Order: sequence, then C-alpha cells, then structure tokens
Amino acid sequence: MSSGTIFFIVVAGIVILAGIYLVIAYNSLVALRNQIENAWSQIEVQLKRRHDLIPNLVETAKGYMGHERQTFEAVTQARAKAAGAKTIPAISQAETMLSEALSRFMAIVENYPELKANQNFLAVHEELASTENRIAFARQAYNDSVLFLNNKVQMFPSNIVAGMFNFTQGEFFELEVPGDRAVPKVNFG
Amino acid sequence: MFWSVIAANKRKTYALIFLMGVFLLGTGYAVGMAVAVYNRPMAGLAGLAAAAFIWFVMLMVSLYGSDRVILSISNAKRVHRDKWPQLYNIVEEMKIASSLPKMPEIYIVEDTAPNAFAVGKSPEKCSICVTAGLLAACSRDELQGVVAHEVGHILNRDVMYMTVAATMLGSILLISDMFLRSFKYSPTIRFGSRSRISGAGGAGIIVLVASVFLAIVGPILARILYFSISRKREYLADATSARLTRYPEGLASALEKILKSTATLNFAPSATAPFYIANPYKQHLGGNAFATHPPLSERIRILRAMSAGAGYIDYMKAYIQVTNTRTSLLRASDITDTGRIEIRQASKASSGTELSHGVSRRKAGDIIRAMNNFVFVSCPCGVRIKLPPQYTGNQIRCPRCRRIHDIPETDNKNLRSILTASTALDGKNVMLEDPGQNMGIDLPSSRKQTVSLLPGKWQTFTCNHCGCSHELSPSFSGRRLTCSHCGSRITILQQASSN
Amino acid sequence: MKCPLCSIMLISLEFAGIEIDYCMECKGIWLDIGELEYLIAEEDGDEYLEPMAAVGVKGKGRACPICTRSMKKIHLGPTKDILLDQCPSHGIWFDRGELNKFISTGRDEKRSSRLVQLLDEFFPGVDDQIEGGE
Repeated sequence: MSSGTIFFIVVAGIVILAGIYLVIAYNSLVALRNQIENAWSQIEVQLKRRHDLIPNLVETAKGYMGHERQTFEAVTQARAKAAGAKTIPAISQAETMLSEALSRFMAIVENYPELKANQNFLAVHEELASTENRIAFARQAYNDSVLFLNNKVQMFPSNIVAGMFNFTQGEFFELEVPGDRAVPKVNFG
Repeated sequence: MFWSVIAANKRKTYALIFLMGVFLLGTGYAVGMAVAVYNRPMAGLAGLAAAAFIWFVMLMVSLYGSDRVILSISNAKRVHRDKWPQLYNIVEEMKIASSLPKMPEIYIVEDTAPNAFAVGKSPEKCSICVTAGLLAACSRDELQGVVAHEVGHILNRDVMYMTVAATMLGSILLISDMFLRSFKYSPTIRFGSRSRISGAGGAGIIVLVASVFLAIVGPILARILYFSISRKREYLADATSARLTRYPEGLASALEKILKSTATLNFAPSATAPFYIANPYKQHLGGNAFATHPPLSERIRILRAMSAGAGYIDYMKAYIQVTNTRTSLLRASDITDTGRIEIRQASKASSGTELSHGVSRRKAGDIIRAMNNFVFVSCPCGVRIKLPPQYTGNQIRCPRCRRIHDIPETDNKNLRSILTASTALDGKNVMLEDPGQNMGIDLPSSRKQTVSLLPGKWQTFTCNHCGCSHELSPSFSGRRLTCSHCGSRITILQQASSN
Repeated sequence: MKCPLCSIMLISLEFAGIEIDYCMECKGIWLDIGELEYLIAEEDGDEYLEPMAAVGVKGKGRACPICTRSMKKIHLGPTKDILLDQCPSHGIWFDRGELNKFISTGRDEKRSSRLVQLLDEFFPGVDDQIEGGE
C-alpha cells in the first residue's frame, strides 16, 4: 500500500466518523426540539382544559352561593378574556388574571360548607386543581427541555451542528412573576 | 433524570442478561452431565440446549411479559380515569412534569398496607401501582409525592433493571430447583452413587462438585444480585420526586405514614385475604427489612432538611447534611437544574386528615370492596351495609333497626364518590359525609334542629343546616352539639327514661 | 366470603367504628382477627385481653370463610359455656346467639368494654328475632 492509499483511508475514516456524529447530533437536536414543541402544546392543552372547566364550576356553585354575583362575574370575565387572547403576551397576562380570579373564588367557597361537600363540586374542584398543577408542571417540563436544547446549542461540538441547521436557543416560559412574563417564543429553525 | 444513572442501569441490564445466559448455560451443562448415567456428552449438550431454551423463554418473558406477571402476582387491578379521577390526575400531572412519553398504566393493588411500586421495561411501557392502603391513608400531596417517586424510578431505568432482574432471578431459581430435585429423586444418586462416582473417575467428581456448587451458589448469587441494586436509587428517586412535585414534604409525610403503618398493618381484610401473597415487589417503597432500601427515617429526614428549594442540588445538600457523608450522590454533570427550584405551597385540596390505623385500614378495605363491585348502603340508623356482588335480591333489611332498603344498582361510577358517600366512622360521635345523597335512602323527612336523645340507645340524626348525619352515643350527656361539618349548633333534649 | 354454615355470601356491616361480617340466613357473625384486637387494644389495653385469651379445645371446627381451612374450637372469655370457631390467622366465627352470650358474659364481669357495648347496640334484638322466628 502506498502512503497515498493510507492517507486516503484515514481521511475517509474521519469523514465517515464525522458524518455519523453529524447524524446523531442532528437527530438528538431534532428530538429535543420536538420535546419542546410537545411541552408547549401540553401547556396549551391544559390552558384550554381550564377554560372548559370553569363554566362547570360556576354552574355547580351558583345553586349554593347565589349572592356572590361579583365573584362569578369576575371569574367568567377573566375566562372570556383568556379564551379570547390571541397573542402570547396577552395569553399569559389573561391567564394570570384568571388564576387570580379563581383563587379569590376558592377563598370565598371556604364560607360555603354545603358547596364544599357537594359531590359535583368536589369533582370539578379536583379537576381544576389538577389542571392548575398540570399547567405548572408543563411549564416546568418545558423549561427543562429548553435548557437542554440551549446547552446543546451553546456547547462544543454540538454547537457546530446546531449552527449548520439553524437551531436557535429556546426561551424560558414564566407565568407567575407579574411584570416579567417572558414570551414563550421558540424559534424552530 | 440522571443520565449517568440511566446509562448505568442500561449497562447493568444488558450485562445481567448476558451473565445470566452464561450462568444458565453452564448450569444446564453441569446438570446434564451430573444427571446422566450413560452417554455423557449428549446429556451435557441436552442440558445446554434446555438451559438455552429456558434462557430464551425467560428473556422473552422478561422483555415482553414481565410486567404482567408481576402485576398479577401482586394482585393488582387496572383502574381507568373514571374509577379514581384523583389518582389518574396525579399520575398525569407527574407524566407531564417528567415528560414521560406515554401515560403509565395505573393499577390498584388490593392490599391494606400502604405501598406502591412501578414495573415496566421502558418509560414507553410502564405501570404504576399503588395499594388500596396508600389511597386510604394519603392526602393528595402525599400521593403525588409517592407517584413522583415511582416516576423517578421509571425515568432512571431502575424499573427496567428491576423488572428484568426479577424475571431472571426467577429463571435461576427454577433451574437450580430442578437440579436439586433431580438430585434428590435420581435413582443413580439414591441407589448407586458410590459406583457411579468411582466409575466416572476424576472428571466425574469434578463435574459433580461443580454442579453441586452451582446449584447451591446459584440462588445465593441471584439473591446477591437482587440486593446488589444500588442503594442510591431510592435517594435519587426521592430527589426526583421532590423536584417534580416541588414539594418534598408530600413524600416525606407519605413515607412517615408508611413507616408507621408497617408495624401494625400487615394483614389483609377478609375481602382480600385469600389472594394475599407476600412478595418482595410489594415492599418496594416501604420495607426497612430489605437491604435494597435505605432506612425510611433517614429518607424522611433528608426530605425535611430541604429548606432552601426543591431542586437536585438542594436534595444533595440535605443528603450530605443528614447522612454526614462526603461522598456525594451524583456527579455534577447529572444535575440539570435550571436554577433555583422553589418549594411550592401545600395544595389546598389536600386536607391531610390524620386517620387512625383502624380507620385507614377499614377505608382501604372499602376501596378494595368498591373495586370488586360491592354495593354500599348507608342506613339512617348509622349502620353501613356492604353487600358483595354475589348478593341476590333487590332489598336488604338492616339488622340493627330493621329498616328495609332497596339495593341500588351497581353503576361503574367513580369509586371515590361511592366511598365518600359512606365515609368511615372513627368510632366516636362522628358524622357521615353526604349521607346517602346518591344512595336512594329515605332520610327522615322532617329535619329537626332540636333532637331528643333516648336513653340507652345509639341515635342518628341529620343536621338541619348541612344535612350530614351525626351519631349520639348513649353516654352522651351534653345539652348542645356543634355540627362538626358546618359548625351549626344543635340542641339535644334528654328524654325521660319513661319515654 | 361465605358463611361456614349456610355457604351463602356474608354481608359486611359497619357501625360506630367496628366492622363485622354477617350472615343474613343464620345470623352468625364473623369478626376479623384485626377487628377484635383493634377494638380491645384501643379501649382496654391488655386488661380485657387477658381473660379473653382463647383456650384451645379439642375437635375440628368449621371451615374458615377466608382460607377454608378448618378452624379451631376455642373458649373465649372467662367462662367456658361458649364454644367458638377461631381461625388463628383470620378471625372468629360466632354462631347465632353466641355473640349475645359473649356479651352477657362480659356484663357479668362488669367490664364495660366498648366492644361489648357496641356489639350489644349493634344487634339489640338478635336473640328475640331468632326465637320469634321473624
């Protein structure tokens, strides 16, 4: 074998290895990006679910606490606003307001032991509490995935692959801190 | 999720499958050689083939059916959303929090001891099981902590390793058991061992010794393997639970309940006793007795020491502080916190009622009954009648007050609402929540806020304000009573005994 | 769970913190072993448990409704006129009337056990019912 052949084989080997790495790195980036998309859609699903539950809640509670009109209206209005919100900053603002209205509502429910013992109310309450949890957990999972993606995008050598295929960093989604509501904007290539 | 732990568990699983194959083939060959009288090499090969076959079957079972086997041994029943919405919700919350690819299947184990476990070969296909005892004893937050702990095991692939190990362990025990049996009943051993060994010469003795060695050491090896599972994994699953729920106290107080109950709760109620088989998988979360688990009290202390936050780093700090060790639980590369993870508030939904053992055991029994389609009838005299599904007839007469009740149809409704309609009494003057609201029971139509107490009788009456029912013991001597449910005052008139 | 006498399904009754299994046909009562111990331990400590310690008697009892193995014949309580069937690991079977006898035995001893009191409350007229023949 001439030195030329050996050189050729070595170069070919490196190219093949690099190619394999490229494929693996690309795939894992895509997987992460999909994970983020999933996590975000999960947030949306849960927000929708909360909107759907509120009329049930109001309907169940009305029979027991008829004279708490204001509270009902606050919740219903906040829901309508949240459901109508189109842009992401508007959504996060409206949802925060809805959360606040709901927690005020729940505080008032404490004064109505009959309502608290009602089977239907208990069921709706459990669903609503679970939905609140899910929104919180979905946000957490979303942020975790974003962190993984961002690490890959920033770190060597995966940053080269990310650069080649236009993977950009995802943004964290915050809902709780008023005035500092980050826009959950994810740029997918 | 801890990448190094996941990788280690995957490695261990593959290594285990491989080693087990080698071991089984060796044992099979040795058995074949030892048992054979004539035609040694062929018998050895036959043993080898048999072992290979067993290994293959076990591998297939452990990869594709082990979860079913373990679930059925544990007497677990699948529950869907409508049966226990809260449990389903909690599992789904944890699924979302942990980004599990698929919703785990949920099972309730018919056991009154509070415990939980998970099985499955991958996060895509796994099941979470909780016992009826756990459901009875735990509040929402506590249940969430336990479910998150199990999800932690699934994420870290502990469950994958355990599931494969359990099945593989089964295969070793099977083959060495067969060997020992053949030893015991083999005519060559019984009647002609001396001639056989002398005839076989030195090689025969070696084979015999080796196979005896394998047969004795095999089960021990399997045990060691079973217990060799990293002790760290429970801590790591706890750390995952704290981080997923952002509420370490939930798991801590659940573990405390499990710790307290193991001393007193270990028999099944009459409804389940025939099916009850003690098995190690059940001890998964509890069991101080098992070397696979660090002491519960220590795990509780660690969780409670997490004051700064609910992240992995906070758990690590608490771990070092409580156990006084220098060796850290995790590599730095495993810690993937996105910053400070705040501990959340206790959820309002969970009114963590402290139940006595007797009550929570009874509640667990009721859950099991409800799962088995028992019908619950609450009689206004205070008796709760629990009818087995085999009970025929449309009516039942209360043995205490002789009222006749229609038996409601069993609807496959939410189990929990069946149970709350007839919550357990704690043995004192207590109320029944929501007495028979959906049960088709004729409550006394005239609700008097003034109640006359007959001497020497137990008495039940309903509160005018909230409709809950109260029990008055014959020894009750007060003039007034505050409804424990809604807080309204009820006047009690003591009747003369002539009445 | 089936009645050891009539082989029909027992029903469970819960009242004021105790739970029993009851046969609608023969009015026999099954007490889970834990039920008995839980109540005794809670109310009286070991004081009442002592005279209640089961005394084994020769002879095979009926089949345990849980494990279907035959139960032991025992005397329970200070006197020896009640012969009960006990499964050591599952519970005790009271034939009809035996429970009331057991209760009255407790009364003679002037031990106001909550269990005794409650069982009496539970079935104020079980005996009349049986003798009156419905």
